[in-house]
Amino acid sequence: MMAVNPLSLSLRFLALGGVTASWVALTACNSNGDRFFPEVDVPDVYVLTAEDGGDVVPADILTADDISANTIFAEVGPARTTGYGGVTFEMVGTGAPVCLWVDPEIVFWNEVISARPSESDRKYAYPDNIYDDGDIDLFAGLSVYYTGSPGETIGDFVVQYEDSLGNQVPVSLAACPNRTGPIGDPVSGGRGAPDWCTLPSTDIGVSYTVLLRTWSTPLDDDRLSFGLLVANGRCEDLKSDVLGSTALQVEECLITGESLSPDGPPGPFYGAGSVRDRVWDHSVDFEEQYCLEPSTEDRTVRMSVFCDREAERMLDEGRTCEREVITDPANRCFCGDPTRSPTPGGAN
Amino acid sequence: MRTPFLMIAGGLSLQACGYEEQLLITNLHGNVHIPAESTVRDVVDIDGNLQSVGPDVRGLGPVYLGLYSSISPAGTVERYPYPEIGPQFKEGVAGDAYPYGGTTMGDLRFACLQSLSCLVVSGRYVDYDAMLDWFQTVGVDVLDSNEDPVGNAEFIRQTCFDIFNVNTDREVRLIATDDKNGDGKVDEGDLDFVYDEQANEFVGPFEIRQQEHFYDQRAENCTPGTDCAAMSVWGWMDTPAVGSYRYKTCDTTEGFQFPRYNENFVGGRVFLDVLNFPTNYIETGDYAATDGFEWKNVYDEPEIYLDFVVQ
Repeated sequence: MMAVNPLSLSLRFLALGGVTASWVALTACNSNGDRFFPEVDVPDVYVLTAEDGGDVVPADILTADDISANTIFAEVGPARTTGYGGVTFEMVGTGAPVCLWVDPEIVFWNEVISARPSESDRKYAYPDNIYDDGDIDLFAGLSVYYTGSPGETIGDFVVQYEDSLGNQVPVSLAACPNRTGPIGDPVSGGRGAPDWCTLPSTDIGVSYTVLLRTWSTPLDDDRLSFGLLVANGRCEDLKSDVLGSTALQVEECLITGESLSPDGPPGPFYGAGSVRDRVWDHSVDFEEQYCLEPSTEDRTVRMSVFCDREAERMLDEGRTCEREVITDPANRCFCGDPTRSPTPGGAN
Repeated sequence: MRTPFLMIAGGLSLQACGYEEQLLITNLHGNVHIPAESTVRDVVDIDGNLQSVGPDVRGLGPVYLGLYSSISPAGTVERYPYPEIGPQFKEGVAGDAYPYGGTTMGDLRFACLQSLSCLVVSGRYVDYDAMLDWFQTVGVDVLDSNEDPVGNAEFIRQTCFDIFNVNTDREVRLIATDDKNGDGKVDEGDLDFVYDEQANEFVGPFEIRQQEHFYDQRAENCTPGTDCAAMSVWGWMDTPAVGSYRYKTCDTTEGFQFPRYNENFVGGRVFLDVLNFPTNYIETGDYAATDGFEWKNVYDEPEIYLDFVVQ
C-alpha cells in the first residue's frame, strides 16, 4: 500500500478548495461588461430632432449657403455595449425624393499606399492623422420596419420571411443604402467617407426612420463629430448642381466644418453658424484643398499646398506636430507625420 | 497540487469532445441528364453550305443547380418550372428564390483572349485544339490582340500561361487534365458531361459539398435527413446564344482585369445571383428541369433531367 504524505494531502485539498472558490466567484460575477467600454461624456445612442424638437424636415437646397445653413452638426460616442451605437431620427415623407447625407471625419484618409491603376483611386501618400478617424454608416427605411428602440437600442430594417418549409429567411427592407458594390450588395461610402443616399420616392405623411450607425470613433477621445444634411431632391443632383462637380472627392466638401473640437456639449447644433467656435482651426481649409478638382498641374500637389503651409505655420510658431500624445491642442496637425510618408509631399 | 487542476482540465476537455452541434451537413451527389439535341446547331460552313453540328459536348453551356424550398410547375411562377420565390417588394425586381445552396457544372472561364470572353465553359474541351476547332466550326472568330485570327491552339495555351503566370494546364482549368474515369487516358470521357449514345443525352455527375440540410420545420414523426419533407434540387442550362455563342449568365463587366499594352478589357464572370433570380437569365432555348427532386434522404443520389425546353 502506498504511503500518503499528510502534507501533500493537505496541499491537494487546499488547491481544490481554491479552485472551487474561484469558480464560485466567477460564476457569481454578474458583470454586463461595462468596464470593457470607454467612458465618454457623449451619448452612444440617442434620438436627433429638428431644432424645434419635432421631426427632421427635408430642406430646400439651392445654393451652397443653403447647405451650411441647414446642416445639423453633432457628436456621437462609442457604443457602451456589445451592440451597435448610433443616432436615429424620424422624417415624414414628402411625396418626392429626399437626399440623406452624413459626413464624419474631416476627409477620407488612410495609409493605404499601394498604387492603383485607376487615376481616381491612387495612393494616398500622406500618413493618416488618427485623431479624427471615425465612420458612420447610413441606413434608412420605413419606420414600420425598424426594429430598434430609438434612444435605447440600435436595430435594423430586417424582417423574417418564412419559406414553405418553415425556414426563416432574413430580408432587409432598408431603403438605404441603395448603391450597390461589385458583388451587387448595398454598400456604404467606405471607412471615413461621407455616406449619402437618395430615397427615390417618399410617401406623403408616412414616417421614415434614418439610422446613423456608428462604425468607429477617434482613438484619442472617442468623440466622433459629424455633419448631417436632409434635403429635398436627389443627392446626385445636389452634388452636380450645387457643388458643380461629379468627382468623387468633392463629396467630402458638400458638408464642411464637421470636425468639432471636443470642448463642449455634443450637440446637436443647427447650421454652420452655431458651431463656428467649435470647428477645428484650419479643418475647413484642409477639406477645401482636398476637394480641389484634380487637374494635370495640381494633382500631385493639391494636398502638399496645405501640408506645406501647416508645416511652415508650426515652424513659425515654434511648435511640433504631435501624433501619439497630444499635449497641446494647438500642436495637433492634419497632415500627420510627413517622415512616415513613402513620398513626402506627394499626396494625390 | 497539480492533480485537481489536471482532473478539472481533463473533465472539461472530455465534455468539449462530446459536444454535438446537431448540424446535418453532407456532401450531396447526383447526376444531370441533358438531351443531346440541346447541342445540335445549324451552321454555315466555309463554302456557304448549311450543315448540322452536334451532338457535341462543347455545345453545352454552364449548368446551374440550386437547392430550394420547393419547385413550382411551368405556368405557375414562370412559363417554365421555377423555384418558389419570396415576396416581391421592389418594383421591377422579381422575388428572390432564396436558395439554400447549389453548384455549377462547368464554370464560365476567361479563356485568355478578349474574343473568347464569356464564350468558354470549363469541362467542355479535351484540349485547346478542341476549343479552337469548336469556335471555328460554329463560326465564331477567335482573334488575338491585333484582331488577327488565331490559327494555332497552342497560342491560346501560351497566352494563358503568360497572363496567369502559370505553367500547367491544371492551373488554367480550361481543358481536361485529370483521368476522372480511370481508363488510363485523358479524353472526352473525363469532361463534365459524357455523351450516352443509347439514350441520346449527355450525363454528368455533380457534387454539392458541405451542404446543410433544410427540412420542413413543422414535420412530425420523421427523421430530418432521412424521410422528412425537405429542400428540392432544381437546375437549368444556359444554352449559348444563337450566332454569338455568348452566355447570358456571364457578366461582361466583371471578372479578370486585363490592362496591358494595347489591350484593356475584362474577362467576364458569372453573375452572382443566378440562383437567386434565375428568371433574369433564363431565355428561350435554355433547358430546365421539369421536376425538382425533393431531397429527403441526404444519401439519395437523384437523376435530374433538364428536359424542359424554354419557349
